[in-house]
Amino acid sequence: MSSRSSPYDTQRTSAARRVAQRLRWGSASGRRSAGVGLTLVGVVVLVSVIGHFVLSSPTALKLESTLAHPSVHHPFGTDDLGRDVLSRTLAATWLDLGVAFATTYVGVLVGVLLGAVAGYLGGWLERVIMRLTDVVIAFPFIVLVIAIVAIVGPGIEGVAIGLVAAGWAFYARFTRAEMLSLREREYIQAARTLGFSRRRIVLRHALPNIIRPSLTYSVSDMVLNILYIASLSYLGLGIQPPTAEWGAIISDGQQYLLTAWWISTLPGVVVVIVGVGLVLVGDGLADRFRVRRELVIDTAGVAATTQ
Amino acid sequence: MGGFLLRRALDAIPVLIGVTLVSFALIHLAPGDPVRILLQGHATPANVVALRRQLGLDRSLPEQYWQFIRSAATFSFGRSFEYQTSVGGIVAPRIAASAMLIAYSLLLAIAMAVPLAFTAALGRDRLRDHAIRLGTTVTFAMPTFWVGLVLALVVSLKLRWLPPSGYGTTFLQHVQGLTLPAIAVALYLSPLLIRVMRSSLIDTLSSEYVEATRARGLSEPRVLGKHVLRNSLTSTVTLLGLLFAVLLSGTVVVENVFAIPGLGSLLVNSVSARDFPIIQALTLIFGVAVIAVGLLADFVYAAIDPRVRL
Amino acid sequence: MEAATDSHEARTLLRVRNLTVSFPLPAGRALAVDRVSFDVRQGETIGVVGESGCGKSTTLKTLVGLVGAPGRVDAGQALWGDGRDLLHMPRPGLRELRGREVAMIFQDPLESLDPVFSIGDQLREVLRSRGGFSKAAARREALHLLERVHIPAADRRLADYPHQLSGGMRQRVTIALAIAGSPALLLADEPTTALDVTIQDQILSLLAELQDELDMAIVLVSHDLGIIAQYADRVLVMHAGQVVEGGTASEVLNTPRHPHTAALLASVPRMPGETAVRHGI
Repeated sequence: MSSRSSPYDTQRTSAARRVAQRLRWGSASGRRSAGVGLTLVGVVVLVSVIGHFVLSSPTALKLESTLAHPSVHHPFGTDDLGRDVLSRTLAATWLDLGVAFATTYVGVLVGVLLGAVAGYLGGWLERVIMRLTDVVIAFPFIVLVIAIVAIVGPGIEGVAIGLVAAGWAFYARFTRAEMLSLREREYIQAARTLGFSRRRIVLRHALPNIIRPSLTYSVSDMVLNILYIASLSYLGLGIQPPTAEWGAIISDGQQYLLTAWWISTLPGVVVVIVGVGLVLVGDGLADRFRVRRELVIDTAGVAATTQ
Repeated sequence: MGGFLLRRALDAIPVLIGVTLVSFALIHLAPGDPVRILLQGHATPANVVALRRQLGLDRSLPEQYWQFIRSAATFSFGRSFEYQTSVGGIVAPRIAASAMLIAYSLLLAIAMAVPLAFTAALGRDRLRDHAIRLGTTVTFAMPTFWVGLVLALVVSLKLRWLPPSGYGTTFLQHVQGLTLPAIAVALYLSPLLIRVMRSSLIDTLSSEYVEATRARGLSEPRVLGKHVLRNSLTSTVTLLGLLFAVLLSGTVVVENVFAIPGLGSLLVNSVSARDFPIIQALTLIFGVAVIAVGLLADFVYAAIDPRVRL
Repeated sequence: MEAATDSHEARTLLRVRNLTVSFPLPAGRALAVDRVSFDVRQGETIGVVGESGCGKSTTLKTLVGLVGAPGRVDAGQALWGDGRDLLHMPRPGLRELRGREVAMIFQDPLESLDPVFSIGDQLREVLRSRGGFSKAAARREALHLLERVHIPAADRRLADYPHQLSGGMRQRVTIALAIAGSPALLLADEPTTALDVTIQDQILSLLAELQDELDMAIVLVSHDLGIIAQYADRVLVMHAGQVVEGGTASEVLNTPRHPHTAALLASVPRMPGETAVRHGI
C-alpha cells in the first residue's frame, strides 16, 4: 500500500478483503445479462409511457368501481377509491426511478469527491473524512435514514436527504482506497513532476480511473435506494398520499389484503422487474469493467474496501 | 491475536463516540424548538422557559452531551415526549422481541444460504448454479415489506397456518408470530450470503490444499464437510459481522409489517410522533449494536482462524 | 537409487499408455497431455522435465484422478500392477488407492496444507481415515511420521499450524502426510521449486532416503535439469503435451537426440553433464 499508512487501513482485515473480492458471481454470462437487464427496465419504462396515454389517470377516482378485480380494463384492478392500480404503479415508476437515480448519483458525487480528497491529500482531512464514514456505516442504513427523516420531516425531501447522507460513505471508502493505490502509480507521479497542481492532477488524471468501481457499484446501489424509498413510503415516512409511489400504493392496499389482494401484491411485481433489470445491468457492467478490487457487500449497509 | 483484538477494540472507540454524537445531535438538528413540539399549542413564554430548564436545554451543549451520555449509560435516556415516562422503561421491554426476530432471521438465512451456496459452488456454471443465481437476483430485488405482505396473504389469510400479525404472550406464540417476519428478513439477507459464500466456496474448492487432501485419500464428504466448510467459515463470519447492519435494516421494516412490538416499530411510531428522546435512544442502541457485533465477529474470526496473529 | 536401476527384474508398478487429456478452449479443445506412455518400476525414480505448461503436472494429477472439469481424459490407460486402470476407477476405489498406493506432493507446501488445522490434526485425520488407529495410536504414529521426515522437536510441532513452519518444514510435513499410507508410488510435482536452494537438497535427500526405506517409486517432475540429473534413474522429456524423448538419465542428458532436449540443456547455465555421469549408472 502507500508509504503513508493510516489507522483506517487496519480496519479492513484481510478476511474482509477476501470477502469483498467474492461479491461478484463472475460467470461468463455477465455480458448478456446487461442486455437482458436493460431490456427489462426499458420495457417497464416504455409500458409506463404507453400507459400514461392509454390507461385512466392515476388519480382519477371512480367511486362506482372501487376494489374491482383485475380485468381487461384494469389489469391490476382498482383500489378503494376506484383508482386504476396499474396506472398508479406505472406513474410511480417515474417517481421512484427518478428519486433513486438522483439520490444515488448525488451520493456518488459527494462520496467520490470526499474519498478522492481524503486519499490524495491525507493528513487530518483524511482522518476526519474516514472517521465520518466509519460512523455513518456503523448505523443500520434505514435507521440513519429514518433518523434524518425525523429531523427533516416525512416526505420526499426527508427521504432524499436521508439517502444521500447515509449513502455517500461507501463511495468515499472505495474512492479513497483506489486513490491511495493510484497515487503511487507512474503516470500520476509523472504529472506531478511536470508541475501540475494537485487539484488538476486529482480532477483530470486520477478521477476518471477511480470513479469506475463506484459507477459500477452505483447501479446495484440504485436498486437498494428504490427499495428504501418504497419501504419508507410504505412506513408512512416517505412520499405521502395521494401521490402514486410503489410503497405507498402497497401500504394503501394492506387493509384490503384479504378482499382486494391485487392492490398490495401486483405493484410489487413491477418493483421486482425493475430491480432485477438494474441488478443485471450492474452485473454486466462489473464484468465489462472487470471491477476486481470491488467492495462490498453493501447491499444496504456495508462497505469494506479492498485496501 | 491479543494485539489484533486490542487494536480492533481501540479502533471502535472513536466510532462509538461518533455514534453518540450523531444520536445526541438529532434533537438539535431538528428545525423548530423541541420544547414547542412538546408543548404544541400551549407554548406560552413562561411554559417554554420552564420546560427548557426541565429538559436541561438551557445548559451548554457540552453539558447537555454529558447529560445524554450519563442517561444512556444508565439506560434511562430521559423522558419520552409522547408517553411522559422514562425512555429506558419503554425501550427495554421491546428488546426481547427484536432480538428474537434478529436471531430467528439469521438462523433461517444461514439455513437457506449454506445448502444453496454449496449446490451452486459444486455445480459451478451448470444449470443449478444459474438457477440459484437467478433466484438470488430476484429475491434481492424484492421489497421486504412486500414479501411480508405476500407471505401474510398466502400463509396466514388464505392457508391460515400462522397468525397474520402480532407477537403473542407465550414462547410458542412468539415463534409462530415471528416465523413469517423472519422468513421475510431471511429472504432479504440470504441473496447476499449465498453470493459471497458461493464464491468463497469456489475459491476453497479450487485451492491446492483441497486437491492435496483428496490426493491423501480422504472421502469426499470429509473433504467438503471438514476442510472446505471450515475454511469458508472464516470469511462467512466476517461477512455476517458486516451484514449485521443489513439484517437490522430488514427487521426494522418487517416489524412494522407484522406489528411486532420491537424496537423497529417503536422507531417508526416515534418519528410520526416526533418523540426525539426515543429516536435518539434507538439510534444509539442500533449503532452500538452494530459496533458490538462487528467486534464480536472479529473475536470469533480470531478464534477460528489460526493465522490471525496481527 | 542406483540399486533400483540395476535391478532389472524390478516389478512394473504402473504402465501408462497413450494418456490423452484435453481442456476446452473458446473454440475446440487443447491437448494438455498428448498420447503419453511410460512405465514405472518398483523403487525407481523417473524424472519428468519440460518447461512450464508442457503437461507434466496434468499427467501426474490425472493419475490420482485430480483432473476435474473442465479437463477431460480423452483416451489411454494407466494400468496399476494388479490390472486396475487408474483412469477409470470408481470413486471409492480411487480413494482406497490414493495415499495408500499412490501419493502425491505438490510444489507449494503452504498451499497444499489446510491452513486452519494443525499439523497433528491433518496427520491424524489421514491416519484415522485408513482405519485401524485409535486416537492415541494415531497420535503416536503422527509423531513417528514427523520423526521419519526429520522434523526436530516433533512433539512440539504437532500443535503448530502450517503458517508457523518454514517452507522446508512444511514440505517435510506434506511428505509425512504422503508416506502415511506407505505408498508404492510417490508423485512429486516440483517438490522443491518453491524452496531455497539449500533446502532443496535436504528435501530431495529425504525423498531418496524414504524411497530406500519403503522401496517406493518416485515420479519427480521438475524443470531443473540439475536435480533430474542427480536423482532420476530414467528421464522423460515433455514438450507440448508429448513425450519427446525418454531413456536413462545419462543417455538423455549426455546425448540428447531430440532438438527440444538439446535446447533445454542449452538453457541451463552450467551443463549438468558431469553430475549425470556421476549419478547415472
